[in-house]
Amino acid sequence: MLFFKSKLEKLEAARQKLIAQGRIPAGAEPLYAAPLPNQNTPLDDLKFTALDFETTGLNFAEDCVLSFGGVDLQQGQIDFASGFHHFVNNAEQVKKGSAIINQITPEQLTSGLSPAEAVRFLCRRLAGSIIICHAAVIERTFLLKLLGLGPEFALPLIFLDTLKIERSLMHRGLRTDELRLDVIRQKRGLPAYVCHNALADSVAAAEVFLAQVKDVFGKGPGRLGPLYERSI
Amino acid sequence: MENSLLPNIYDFLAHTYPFSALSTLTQDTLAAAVKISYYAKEDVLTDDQLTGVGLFMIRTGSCEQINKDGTLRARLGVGDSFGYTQLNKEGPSDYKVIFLENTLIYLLPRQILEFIKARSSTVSRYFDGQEYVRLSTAHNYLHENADYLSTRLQRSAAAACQDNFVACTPNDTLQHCAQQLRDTGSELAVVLDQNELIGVVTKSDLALRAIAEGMPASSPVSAVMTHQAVVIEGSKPLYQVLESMFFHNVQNLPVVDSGKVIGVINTRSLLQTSLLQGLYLVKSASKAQNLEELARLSQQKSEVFITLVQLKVRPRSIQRIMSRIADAFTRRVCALIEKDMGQPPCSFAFFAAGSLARGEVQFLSDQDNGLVYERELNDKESAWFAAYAEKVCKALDRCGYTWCTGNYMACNTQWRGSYARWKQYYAKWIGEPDPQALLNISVFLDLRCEYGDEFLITKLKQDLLQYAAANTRFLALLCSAAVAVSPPLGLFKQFVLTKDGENKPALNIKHQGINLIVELARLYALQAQNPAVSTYDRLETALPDKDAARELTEAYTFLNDMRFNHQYQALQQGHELSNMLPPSELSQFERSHLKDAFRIIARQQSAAQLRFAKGL
Repeated sequence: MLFFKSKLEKLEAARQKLIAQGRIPAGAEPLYAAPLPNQNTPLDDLKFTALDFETTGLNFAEDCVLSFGGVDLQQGQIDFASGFHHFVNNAEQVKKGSAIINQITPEQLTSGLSPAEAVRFLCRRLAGSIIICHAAVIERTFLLKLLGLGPEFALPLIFLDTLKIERSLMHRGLRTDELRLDVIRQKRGLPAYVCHNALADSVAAAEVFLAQVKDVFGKGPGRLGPLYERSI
Repeated sequence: MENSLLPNIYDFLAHTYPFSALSTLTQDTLAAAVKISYYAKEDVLTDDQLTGVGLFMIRTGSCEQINKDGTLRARLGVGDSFGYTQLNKEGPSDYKVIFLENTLIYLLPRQILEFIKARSSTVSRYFDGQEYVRLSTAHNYLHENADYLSTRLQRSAAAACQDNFVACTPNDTLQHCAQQLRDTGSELAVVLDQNELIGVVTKSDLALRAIAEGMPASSPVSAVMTHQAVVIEGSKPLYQVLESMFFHNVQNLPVVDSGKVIGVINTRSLLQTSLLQGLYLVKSASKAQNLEELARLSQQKSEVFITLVQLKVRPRSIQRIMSRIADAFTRRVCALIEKDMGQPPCSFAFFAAGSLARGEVQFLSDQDNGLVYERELNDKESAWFAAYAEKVCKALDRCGYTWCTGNYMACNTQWRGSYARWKQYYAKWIGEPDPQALLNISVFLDLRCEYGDEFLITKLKQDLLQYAAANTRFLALLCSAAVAVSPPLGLFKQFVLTKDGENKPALNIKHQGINLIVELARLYALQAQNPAVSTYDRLETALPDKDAARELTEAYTFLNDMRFNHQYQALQQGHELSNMLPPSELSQFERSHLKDAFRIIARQQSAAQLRFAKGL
């Protein structure tokens, strides 16, 4: 095994390669600024950002981001003061029905950030952070879409996925509806969140993450590797 | 950030005392500073994880606080918080926290707490760290909500009194005085001698004392005036005016400011408040013509009580007013039955024991009383008093002062006797104290004359005080009886948590709270040979440690306030009244303040033990 690189090492190697080749995608520069941590990095040395996107749907080709929100987590504490939330002005692309589902009005969208502003904000905000999402595929692919990149592109961002971690903690396979964030929270005795928006959902995922860390590591010190393994 | 995005945290703060008292804007500032953390079952927080950190508020889950000596300090559940007593410490903490379940904590960091404390006196008083200060805020809090009526009751007597009052000299004629009362529409004239108040004359004095007695209209007012009239300080709030009217059974009072009369105040000035109902109940009871009328009148007690609680009258005043009403009924019952039975064989006194003796009657109080006659009796004479006591106690029961469950009543042969016999009782109880017997007779350690020869009771009280103060073993045993029941540590989820870690389904606010303070106050009063009978007066005047007196007073006020509010709600909803409070019916506010009250009692119980135990 000595000669095989771990997935985290591969991600770091890809980062260095793109820097060497001068092929960093436009707009994503902040994400390439610092080396990635490795699997042995203690959790207490890391900064995490829980992130949630509200989108018009799950179709990467057609749908787009309506709003995003997030909050930082460091040394086992969610710092509510670090919370952020923005609407994205994709008004011309928005299918009428979806905005109603998400309780977002066209006025909120038009007052939001342009997609270019949104991606600039996100790349600066997420640089140096480990990302926590529930069903991270959505945030990862729509972030790529905002950057104008294909869904398979490997950004130097580490996504930890509370859905996948939860599944890994179960002894039996769970149906997808049993892995919804609110169901997991209920099962774990966490308070129900009455309102759904990108910020509330990111905080909700961050709280679940804190509980999962206790499950995975017990009283011992946590390291990045095992959580990342469970998130893939 | 918009607070609508995260209703959880904002709602939680908005419903958690003392933050609920803050403006929305300040609550938002606070919410923005919250840090969220999560602890698994059996995780432990100790020392610098607790000291100087902030306020840990439990959002879900539960934990225990364990004192340094390993004893349980408290068990905390959703909505409870910990850490504020450790806020200004460094290094070692006074307790450690062990999580009983997986727990989500909202942490308010120290800096933001300091910031909010500097801006809000409610919050700073709450976090002052001393229980009695928190309890006094609780008290103010309950009274700050004052509606229109109770705002009126907070007004000063000076502001509400009539200043165009009639002033006479002692030599003015009755006619002159009557004319002046007519011309000013007043009820009462003050009689001044060189600007000094020497008496008062009311309209009824003119009618009942002068005209009824056939006095000439040219007689001086000094012939009918009441000497040493009761007065009220202008700075006193109206509810104290009322209290004083109740106490002295008068309807007019001169208002004075540094000894000088500045006006008069009468029941009309207070008519806006239906509190007068109570005053009239006392009046009508003392004039009732027969027992049926008394029994009928007694039904108004609950209305009076409801009004007092609604108007958020201080618990101390509620107790006094309810006691004055009980006095009026008791005295009238005694008088009517004596009138009915004819001349008693000898001089006697009917006395109140227990809560009525202390002037601390509440809605649930049953009757505790006894009877003393001046000498030994023959059989026939004894039979007279037996019949008398039986009738009195029965009539009191009809008036809502129910039979005493412990049978501490004058109708019980044991509690009816000559002065000599009662004196012997006290000599025995105190001189050869028996721990079990003490529990049984403690109700007779408080006594007050209700009817008959007051001197008999005064003598008995003196005997009691002299015996008790001289007998350290008695005081030591009384002390161990007083501390035999420990207050609960607090409330945990739907249970009451006792000192040994047991969970009880309901709090007995009388036995586990109020009585413990009553007993401590009595103990100190007996040691100091202090004749005060009310718990408030005893705390104020008999406790050597003023800080102890202050915190016990706050705890006592809070517990009574809470008891009255729950009784009031039960009355309103037609439920049966009880001293048992299931924790599910208590608000978070009440729970956290109860814990403060319990801690004060526990601390003062230990202090009393140190002080009195050496007598054993």
